[in-house]
Amino acid sequence: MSGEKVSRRRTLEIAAATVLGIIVGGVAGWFAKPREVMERLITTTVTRTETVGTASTVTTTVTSTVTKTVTAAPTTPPATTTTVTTPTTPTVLRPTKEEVLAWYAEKAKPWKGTTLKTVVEVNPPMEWNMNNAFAEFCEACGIKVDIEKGTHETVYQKEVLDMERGTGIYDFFFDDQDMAGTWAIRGWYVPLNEFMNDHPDLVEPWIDLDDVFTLPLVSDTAGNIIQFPNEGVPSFYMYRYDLFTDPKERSDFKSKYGRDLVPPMFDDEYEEIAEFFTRPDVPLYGHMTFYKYAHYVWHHFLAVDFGACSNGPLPWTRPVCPWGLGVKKVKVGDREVECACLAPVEKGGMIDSPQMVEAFRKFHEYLKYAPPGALEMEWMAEGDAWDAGILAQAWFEWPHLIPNHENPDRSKIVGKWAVAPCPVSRKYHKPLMPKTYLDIEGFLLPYCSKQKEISYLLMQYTISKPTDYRKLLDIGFCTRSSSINDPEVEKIYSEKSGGEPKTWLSYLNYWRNKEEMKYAIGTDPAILDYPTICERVLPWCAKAFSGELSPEEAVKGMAEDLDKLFKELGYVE
Amino acid sequence: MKSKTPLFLLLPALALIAFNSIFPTLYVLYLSFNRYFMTGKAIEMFFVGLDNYRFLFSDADFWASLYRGSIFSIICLAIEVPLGLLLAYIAKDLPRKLRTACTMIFCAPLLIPNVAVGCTWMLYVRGWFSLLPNLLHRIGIHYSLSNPVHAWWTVVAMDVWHWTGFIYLVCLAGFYATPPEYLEAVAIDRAGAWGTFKYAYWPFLRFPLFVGILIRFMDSFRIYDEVMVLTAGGPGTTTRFLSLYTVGKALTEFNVGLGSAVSLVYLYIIIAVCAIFMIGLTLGERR
Amino acid sequence: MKVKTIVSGIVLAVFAFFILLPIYWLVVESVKPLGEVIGIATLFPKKFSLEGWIEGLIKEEFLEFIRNSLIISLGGVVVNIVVGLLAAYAFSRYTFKGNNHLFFWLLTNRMAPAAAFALPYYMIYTSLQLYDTYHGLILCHTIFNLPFAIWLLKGFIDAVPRELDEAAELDGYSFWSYMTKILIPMIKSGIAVTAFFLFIFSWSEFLFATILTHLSAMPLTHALFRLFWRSTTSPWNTVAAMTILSMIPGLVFLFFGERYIVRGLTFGAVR
Repeated sequence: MSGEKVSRRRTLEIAAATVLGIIVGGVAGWFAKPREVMERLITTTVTRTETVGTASTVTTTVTSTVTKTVTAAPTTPPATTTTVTTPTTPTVLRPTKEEVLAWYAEKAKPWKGTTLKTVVEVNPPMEWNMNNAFAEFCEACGIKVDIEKGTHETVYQKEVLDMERGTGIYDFFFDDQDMAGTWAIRGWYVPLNEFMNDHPDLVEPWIDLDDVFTLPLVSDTAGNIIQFPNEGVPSFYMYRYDLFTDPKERSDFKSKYGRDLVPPMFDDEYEEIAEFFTRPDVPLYGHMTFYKYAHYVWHHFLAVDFGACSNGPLPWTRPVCPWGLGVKKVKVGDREVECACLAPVEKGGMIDSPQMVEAFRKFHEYLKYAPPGALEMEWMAEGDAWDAGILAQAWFEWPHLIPNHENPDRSKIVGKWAVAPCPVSRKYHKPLMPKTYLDIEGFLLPYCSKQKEISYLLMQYTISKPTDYRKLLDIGFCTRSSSINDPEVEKIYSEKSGGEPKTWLSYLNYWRNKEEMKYAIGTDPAILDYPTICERVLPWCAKAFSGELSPEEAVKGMAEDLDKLFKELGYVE
Repeated sequence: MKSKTPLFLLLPALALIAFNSIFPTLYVLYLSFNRYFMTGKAIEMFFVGLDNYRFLFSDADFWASLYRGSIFSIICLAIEVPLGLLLAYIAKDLPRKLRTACTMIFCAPLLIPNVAVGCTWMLYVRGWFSLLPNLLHRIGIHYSLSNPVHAWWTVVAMDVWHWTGFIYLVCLAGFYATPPEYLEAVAIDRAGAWGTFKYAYWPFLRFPLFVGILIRFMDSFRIYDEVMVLTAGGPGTTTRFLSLYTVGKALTEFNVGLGSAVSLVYLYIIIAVCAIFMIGLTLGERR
Repeated sequence: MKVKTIVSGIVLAVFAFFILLPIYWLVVESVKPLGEVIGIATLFPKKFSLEGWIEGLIKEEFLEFIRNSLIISLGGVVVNIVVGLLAAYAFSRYTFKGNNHLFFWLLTNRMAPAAAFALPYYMIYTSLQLYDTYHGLILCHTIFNLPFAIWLLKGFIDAVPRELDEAAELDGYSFWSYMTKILIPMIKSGIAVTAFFLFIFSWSEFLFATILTHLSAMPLTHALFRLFWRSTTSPWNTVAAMTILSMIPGLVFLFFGERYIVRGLTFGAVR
């Protein structure tokens, strides 16, 4: 049949074309290297002035030779031989905004008229930055900033694509402290302390880095500053102040459970309150959660709070980091870095430990106290739930949504909410274990940025003292101890909350509570591949939360999957 | 005219295609034979042969995504094709104005960007502030997108909402392709509804419908935007289809070698199904 | 007979209701104030407010994104039609052995998952300084637009008899004047149909829009996506309003050219 012959010939044609294509493609690819790696060895002699102590009592001049290996995409972080503290003037009082802006206008003169490009994750502090800090800086110095608003994932994608290729499309980035480890291991950032040493004339005289209490969390173990933190805010337990002080609710609760209606200290107390307040007909619910594509859920809720999946003292719990991954030293290039890569219990992790099982179980159980469809929401839906007035309490809230709660246009709970420390697991939490998460977002200066100096000036302005103070007053975020401890702030917040220990005042008290803040941690810098790990962990958590797998099976699968991942990445055998 | 060689006319098109289609495919092919992580511990890209493919085919997540995608496509077709056919069958006899109105309503979702479809359904089905959960609650169904079964059927419903108009149009055009003589002949023979369908309409409907089914199968197999917007992979991995797996590997984990391998396998699966279908069609035609 | 009419009517009505209900909800959501949108769902707005629309167009700068999408889509239409017309003419008038090959390759390009090409495109386009430019995105969209344009236009050119070519040559027309004065006016409805589909495909494209743009050339689809997927609360009424906005070109065409949709969507396999 001619039809059959044609089809057989066609098949042969297709097969031959495929084989030919593969051969041609392989040969072409072999010769066309996709990326040039240029390596230059730079030997520079750097004179550094080391200031010992906060008062300049001893000044020593140290001349050291620093060898830098610069590659198109550097594979090892720049090696510094000494840990340097930048020259600072000790305990500087807060300058005025005009003073500071005048200083910046002077310093930014050589770069007047440039346009900076950046991609940022837009959260309320960054929105405030864009409208205030950036606007003021641009006006004073005559520059422009092209801000691309991205999502958490998009920013990460663009950062990696830009920095890996070294294309230098963006001049600086704004992203999460979660990524600090990821950037640190590749050395894609310019250590800001080094930058400050190389350009002492660009360092603000009022910078006072000791004042920035989140700085240790955005530096690596060698002391290199990875990001300039824009805000560092602790997560907390939030509840409806009006419901908790309502006499009828209080008496009902007392008669049912035998104790007072107060913010819980332990998880079983939390559960009792959740049960009490879950009234779907009202509607009112006693718990809120979210999980849509939210990779940070698993470690914020689980490892830190619900299960206490870490051991050892703070700040960075060792040998198991607060996420439940064991830490070991890994050879990267010619250095040894700490890497959180041990997942199963046999290897030293705590992923399939009873604590994690308990955490998963609790997460799944508490879902019945949450509004319907909660699991499929993004995290900002918590804000929507609160504003709609259908929540009575929630374990783990981000402070980002506080300004919304006080916005009468959208919120039904203006003046009715309050903040308390997070409850902990009664069974597993031991003293000195972490209690809550300190959410830090910061500015990153990539090595391939084409306009480093002016970007640095802009970044420095957003964390300068007057900007920081105003940020705290306006929206409740800051990164400096001096801002938080200022008595003016307490007065203003007290006014905002009408004198009662609720809303803004309770938030401030929580933040100032040094005892509580001791137990607030950020993402461990030993986590070297944050998004990759989260991508692997997501399905397991979600299957456990939806009830498809039992908690034991889920954690077992998760431990195995993570172990497989770390083998792929080459951290374990 | 004859003096103008076809090459001159084809040159711009061929150049664009070589640049956009052939070269990137070859590049992806090259990348799939290497181990290349864009983040993490920096290891230079090096050649690993078929390692990526071996890993891919042993990855349970890949097979699960593939399986889910296929089942999804089959279910969507199983709903859309009879529905579209039925709607076209009814609509073909309607008076012109009514038919135009029906066509416009049923086909409105076809020309909307995929992201917009996802947004529409997201606003429609999520949480306490959306319409569908509240309506269903009145009937007594506790609808929740966190429930895997509900999520799955919502995504299917979204696809049906989006694309049934396509099958409807194809069938409608097929029905109108029947020459009037056939209809008269069948009417004379008093064949009845089924007979009319089988002998008059079906021969002219067959080819367009099969092409439509092929295109629909391919499109639903490639679905990305709508699912990403609505469930981002669903509660757990319920709606994690192959496209989501690919983008996850290539652009979130930045495992470029594996991502390239998956992309190529994905492409070849589609091409293979296309080819089988085409060959089947052409053989069928000859017979 | 009567029963059949009633049943048909019910089927059509139910399906029409199924299609229209989400769109109705979208319209309603876009005219509610924010406080009401995040509260318990109401079937009809308690208070009318256009803040969704105004905020979207001005504060979220959607006017710019619409402009970007329009430029990219229209530019794409022009490029693809010009190049495609020449190629389609060649395919139509000169017999090649690979007619089926052409259709097959067309389908595969149209069916290629965008994720397959995302990374190579990024690498190539950034090296060539095509990142975040209109021409970069137009070029990028030709991967699925050009084969489609060629195929569809070929179908239309096939309908023009060859005798016309020969008659024109005899009459002394040069190639270009033949094209511009005779051929194009003859198939102008076909070109319009193709142009419209090219516009819609470029308008709806999402993955490349995400990766290959920064600000200057960001199209509507990605802007819509990140309107609700972000690290702060989403203005759902604005999302609804902007979704409606992105639907407008499609609905406009539907109103004017419904006869041509089938042809375009099935690659001319169905007349």
